[in-house]
Amino acid sequence: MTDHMHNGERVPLVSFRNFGIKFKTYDGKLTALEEVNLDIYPGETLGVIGESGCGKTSLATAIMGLVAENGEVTGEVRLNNEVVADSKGSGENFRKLSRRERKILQEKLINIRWKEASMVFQGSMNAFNPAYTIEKQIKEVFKIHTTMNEQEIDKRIVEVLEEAGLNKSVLKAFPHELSGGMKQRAVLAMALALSPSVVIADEPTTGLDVVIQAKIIQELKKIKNKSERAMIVISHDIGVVSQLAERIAVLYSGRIMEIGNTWDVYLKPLNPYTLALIKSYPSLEKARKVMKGIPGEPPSAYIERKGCLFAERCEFAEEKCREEEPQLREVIPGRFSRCHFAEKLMANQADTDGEELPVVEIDQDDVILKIEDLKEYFTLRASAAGSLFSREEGSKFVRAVDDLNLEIRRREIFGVIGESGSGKTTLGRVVVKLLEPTSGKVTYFPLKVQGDGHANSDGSGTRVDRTFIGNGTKDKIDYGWIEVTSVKEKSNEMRAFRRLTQVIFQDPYDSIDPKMSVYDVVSEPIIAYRVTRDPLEARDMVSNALSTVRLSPPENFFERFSHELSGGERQRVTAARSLVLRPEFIIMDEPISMLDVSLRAGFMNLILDMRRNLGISVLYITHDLASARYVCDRLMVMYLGVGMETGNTEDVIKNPGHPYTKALLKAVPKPSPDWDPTEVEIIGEIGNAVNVPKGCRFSKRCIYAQEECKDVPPTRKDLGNGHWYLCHFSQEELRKIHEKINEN
Amino acid sequence: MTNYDEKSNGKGSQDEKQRMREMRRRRLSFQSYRFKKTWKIFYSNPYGKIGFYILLFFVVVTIASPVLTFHKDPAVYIAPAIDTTVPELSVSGFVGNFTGGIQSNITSYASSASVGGSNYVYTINANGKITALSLRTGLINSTGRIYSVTNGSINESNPMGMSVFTLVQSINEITYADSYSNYILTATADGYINLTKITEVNSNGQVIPPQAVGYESTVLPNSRLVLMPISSSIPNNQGSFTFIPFYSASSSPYGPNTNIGRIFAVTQSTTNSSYFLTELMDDGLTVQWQRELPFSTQPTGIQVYGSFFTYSTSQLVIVTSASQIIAFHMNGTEAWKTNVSGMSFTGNMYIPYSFQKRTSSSNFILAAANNTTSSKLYAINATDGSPVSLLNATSPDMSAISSTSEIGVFPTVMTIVKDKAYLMSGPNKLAGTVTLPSIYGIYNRDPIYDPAANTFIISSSKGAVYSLMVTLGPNPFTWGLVPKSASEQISVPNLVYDSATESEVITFRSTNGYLYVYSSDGKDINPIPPTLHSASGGVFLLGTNSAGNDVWSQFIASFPTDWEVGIVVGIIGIAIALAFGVLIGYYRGFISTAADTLVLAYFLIPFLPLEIALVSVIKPSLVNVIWILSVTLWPFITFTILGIIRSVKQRTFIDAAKVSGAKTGQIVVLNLMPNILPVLAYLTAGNVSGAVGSISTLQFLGLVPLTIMTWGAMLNPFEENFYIAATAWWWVLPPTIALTLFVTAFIFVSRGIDEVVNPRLRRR
Repeated sequence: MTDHMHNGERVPLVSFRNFGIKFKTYDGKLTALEEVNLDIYPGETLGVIGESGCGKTSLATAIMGLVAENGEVTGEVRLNNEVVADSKGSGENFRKLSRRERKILQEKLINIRWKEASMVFQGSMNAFNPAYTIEKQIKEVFKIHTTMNEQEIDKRIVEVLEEAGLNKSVLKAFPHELSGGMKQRAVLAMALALSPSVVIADEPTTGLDVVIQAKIIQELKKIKNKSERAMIVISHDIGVVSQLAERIAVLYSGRIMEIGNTWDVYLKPLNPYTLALIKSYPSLEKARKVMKGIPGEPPSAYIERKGCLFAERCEFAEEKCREEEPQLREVIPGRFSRCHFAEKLMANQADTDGEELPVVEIDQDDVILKIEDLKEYFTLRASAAGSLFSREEGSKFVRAVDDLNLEIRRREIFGVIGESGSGKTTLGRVVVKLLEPTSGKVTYFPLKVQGDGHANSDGSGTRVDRTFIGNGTKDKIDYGWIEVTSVKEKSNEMRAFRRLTQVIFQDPYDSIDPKMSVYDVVSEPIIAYRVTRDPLEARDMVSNALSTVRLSPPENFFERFSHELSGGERQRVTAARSLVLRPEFIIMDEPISMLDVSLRAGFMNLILDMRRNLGISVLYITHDLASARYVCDRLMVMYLGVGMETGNTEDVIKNPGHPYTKALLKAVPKPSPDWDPTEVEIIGEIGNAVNVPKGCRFSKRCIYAQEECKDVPPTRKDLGNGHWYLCHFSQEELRKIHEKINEN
Repeated sequence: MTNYDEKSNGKGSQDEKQRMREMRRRRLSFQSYRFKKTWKIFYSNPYGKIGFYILLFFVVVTIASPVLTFHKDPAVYIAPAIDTTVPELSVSGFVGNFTGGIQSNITSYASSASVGGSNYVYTINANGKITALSLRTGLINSTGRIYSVTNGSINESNPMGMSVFTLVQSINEITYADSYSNYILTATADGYINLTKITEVNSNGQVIPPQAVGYESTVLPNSRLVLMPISSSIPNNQGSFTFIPFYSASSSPYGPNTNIGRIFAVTQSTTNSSYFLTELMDDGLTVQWQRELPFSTQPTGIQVYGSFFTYSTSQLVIVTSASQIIAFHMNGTEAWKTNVSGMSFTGNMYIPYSFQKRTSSSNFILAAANNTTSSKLYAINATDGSPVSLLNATSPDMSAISSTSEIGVFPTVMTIVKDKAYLMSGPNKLAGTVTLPSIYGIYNRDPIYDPAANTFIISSSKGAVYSLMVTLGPNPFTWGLVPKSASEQISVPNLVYDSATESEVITFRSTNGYLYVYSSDGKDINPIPPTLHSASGGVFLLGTNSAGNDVWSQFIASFPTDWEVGIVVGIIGIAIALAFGVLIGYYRGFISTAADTLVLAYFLIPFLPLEIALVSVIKPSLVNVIWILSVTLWPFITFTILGIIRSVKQRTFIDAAKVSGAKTGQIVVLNLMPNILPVLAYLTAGNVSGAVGSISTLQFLGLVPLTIMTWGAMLNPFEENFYIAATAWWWVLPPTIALTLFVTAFIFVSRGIDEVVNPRLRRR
């Protein structure tokens, strides 16, 4: 660090001075960043958190000197005391420069990139060229930016790969041959290739499974500790950032709201936004407390700004906040906050813990959906031509769902949790028959309106009449239960089933037809079931559904399109669509994973309300343990198409039985210094479900795995209270094995 | 959530109606808002905007095309020969400005005899200066040499006119060979009559340009000339004629009864205002006799009958005034006298060449007479003066008379009343009428009959010259010649025998100062360049093509056809492609897979050879061509649509709709279609221009009949002959530009739609 010391004063590696970027677009000027003053010192890791659209990525790319052509810069960014972005080299001014000047400027920036500062872009692991080997692609970095010869490059590549936690066997591999985690490491290796003084990691773990995320965090930590280079970690996930960064900058709508040391900021935020952000999303431990979420949406980046940008959503806001723009100021030494009432907030910190979530009573015998021995195999040969020209013999299947048994009770929120590729989504789709199951049985027990009010879970329900919402004719449908897997698509039973079940999909951007207005989207089921021909009645139904999901006044949303809605509103619209016919059962496939952090709590609360007020049962599919803990009554952990562990949520979270569940729980980054990603006891990454082991599915990754695990299918081990796990070993045995491992 | 089952049954109440109306209104305004917004995005794109305006132009032209197209069937219509055929200019020369109006200020003469001054065209200007233009250039379209004839010896201002004729000057006493001279007769209104001989040999026997020699002049005392004096040797407005010797009075060896070149003048006494007819002899311009005419009004015309008779006994000199026509023998005695009551002679008389040549009791003189409301053409018997009415016209404007020259039969007589030419094969026997172009002034000149081509050469006051076939027919004119500028006027054209080229030539003088000599047979000049004043008076905004079709009409008529082909093929193609796209892309199953394979197989057949094969087998009418294009152009689009349908099908909202209970039909119509609609619009735009391009290709290659009027059809001739393409810009450019613009406009519109479809492009 001595190199960077001058007269005892630390010289920042990267410094932002009154930095701001405005993008000229057709819709007007978009303010991406403003008044950014920030220094990053050598050896330091800065975390940048904020919701999507707050300017995180613009901040990072500015360090690389990458400002889009329509961007207009104010202030300046210096990297190693070289100006990399200022008003001269951007926007109108840049266009005014002569060709020569432009070229000089660009060459200077090209020299800086990769050598001085390198960046791991969001999702860049999917940006490898599939036609070249990893080696060739990493080599390119050296060839473009250095004058090293082949031997030197070869040597250096092996070094950087080791630095990124890979061995050199990946060099000859093509991108598709690597797992997601390995690709992400390869990207890291590329970023480290030229030993830059600043490494920027933009959402380095987004899109990765928890387990891999933990490993990447581990890798980044290693890199960070090894060298004196500065690192900037950008994420919306406080857990990830807090594990890596010493300092955190909180961004909101292009402004830095707070800067401070990580744990200080996390434990005692000095800005209402930070506080709200931390409160709005559950960490695994706090997930039984009621979350509030942040009301409203971030202000539009196009409008003129006045006062504190967070004022409209802030529970502490006063008149002053709306009128007067707060400045980023040092509230206590080393802690900067952009708030008029930062001091006041310090006193207000005490009760960060909310009240406990209310427990909902569920009738254990009132089953709404029963899944028995459900299998869903996808053959890899879809077409006749494919089978004709295939290089391999014999048919192969992806065992997406394999022998699954499950019972969901009425008014219950049942969580299915697992890494991507574990078959969660397929399960959801099979249940609503978007996919035909290969074998097995799914039985649905509608609520009896008449009779004793309970369906017999053995399927021997009596035939009852059910009155549907609808026009005066009130169609009657005769059934006791519906065997979803065997009824025909066009049968009355299937129509009844479709009416009673709904799905909320993961991607709110994609699950609303972009060409349909909100009214059309929500009224789609009404039209499909010809519930009413009276437009006014239909309108009332739509209106009610929208109010239920708290989109009010509903009339304002009727004539809007999905692109005119925010992510949260979109997901609410899909919820409204699923609620409009008053279903009994909703499958929610990762409903919050695409929402901004501040909006997640709101939607989760909506799910709980729907259950509480409308008595809806939910199959909640997620990869996120914290949200599962928040909303679910029971959980099933799925791995490669098989349910590994099932039980009441609290039982599973607190006393996980299965080694996989244990690893998953450990892999969730905790915003505390004692979380250690090396403790995640799991081998490798989730494979595909084509070549599954004969025995335990998890045996290849299980650290406890013994000889028998490979060949003998495991049995259920009951832990009581409906909590079981699928393993050869009891908890006691597992503990013993673990001790043995530790000894070795 | 409220209970839907408790829905009130308050239907029909005012409140419900009100709400219903309000809802409909909101939906409607929403729809229009949506459209406006989409439009705004489209319009804000410069490509979209330009494309839209170009297409708007095409649409407007298409709608207006029935009005803009000048000819009903432009593919078949051929511009008349009058417009596309012109006589060839053989020689011209600048002879100085002339003010027009004077009918005889140009004359011409050519004789087959090798007489000094023959094969020249003579003209006189206002100062009495006579110039001659040599016909003997031997070059086509050359500037001829102009010679001053008068050489200072004739010097009169304001001549009434000029005529040139040949007389036998002397007879060799030993060989009896005739010796000829050309004479020029001029006169001024104040009574001066001048005669000069022309020579081409100087005193040393050297050949020189024509010169006036032996100038004689006389003045009739106390008289002014009423009409231009005429020589009996030069019948008016005849084509070239068989050479007959006219004797000079001094040289006539056979006495006064031989055909002596006599000069007749009509004068008015300045003392008592009475009118006189005077005969003068060339020999010293001596007065032979003088007779007072029994007219109270000014004589209107004078004519010599029987110019080519061997003896002068049957020759007559005929004078008209008001309703009277009087014939005198050559000795001055009155032969006959006729009065047509109620009509008055216009002075316009015409004697068919055959009657001038051969004496017969049925010979007649054609004379026009009119009153304030009507006009009549009389055939007045040359023997007894009995008038026969040949034609009664309802207009008083009978302006010109002519006739063919057949001997022994009733000649075809032609007269022009206003802009109508009447051809008669006997008294009141109308052989046909022709409407003459009316924009080039009036037809106040007697047409000349060209026996070689059997045509009348008609000229108008403003300088248009037409050749009208005696046999008429649907396309009666063989050629037309119009002045280059609207203000131009020409003198009366003369038909002259050019012994150098051994052909009849037409000479006239123009107000632009030039004396022109044109060949009398026409030359096809297609493709003709754009003209607003064609010979027929028609407008050829874009000229003609080499076949004589009106390019403008073809061009405009191509708009609707091209649109028709484009839109029909575009829509049918898209419909087929959409059907297959949905079948293959959305549905699954055996039929879908089979269709996929078949469409792929079909796609692999190159479409141009396929089109060529199909048009060769099927009779390529417009409807068939549309079908052929429709069934060949869709596979490409199908695969584009297919890809889009497949990608839309993968999107979650389709699953969401399925889960919402929507049936396949509903999903296809409500979810799938709106999402591919912009792409469909995009593809339709491409397909429309593709279809137009395709039919143009087929027509350019000549595989589809050119009667289907498209831009491609218009360009067809250039496939074989690039030279015309290089010369006839008016023909090649419009279809080329239109075709390019049309296709470009659709590409631009596609770009604009792209902007609507892909908002990502917009954000940049």
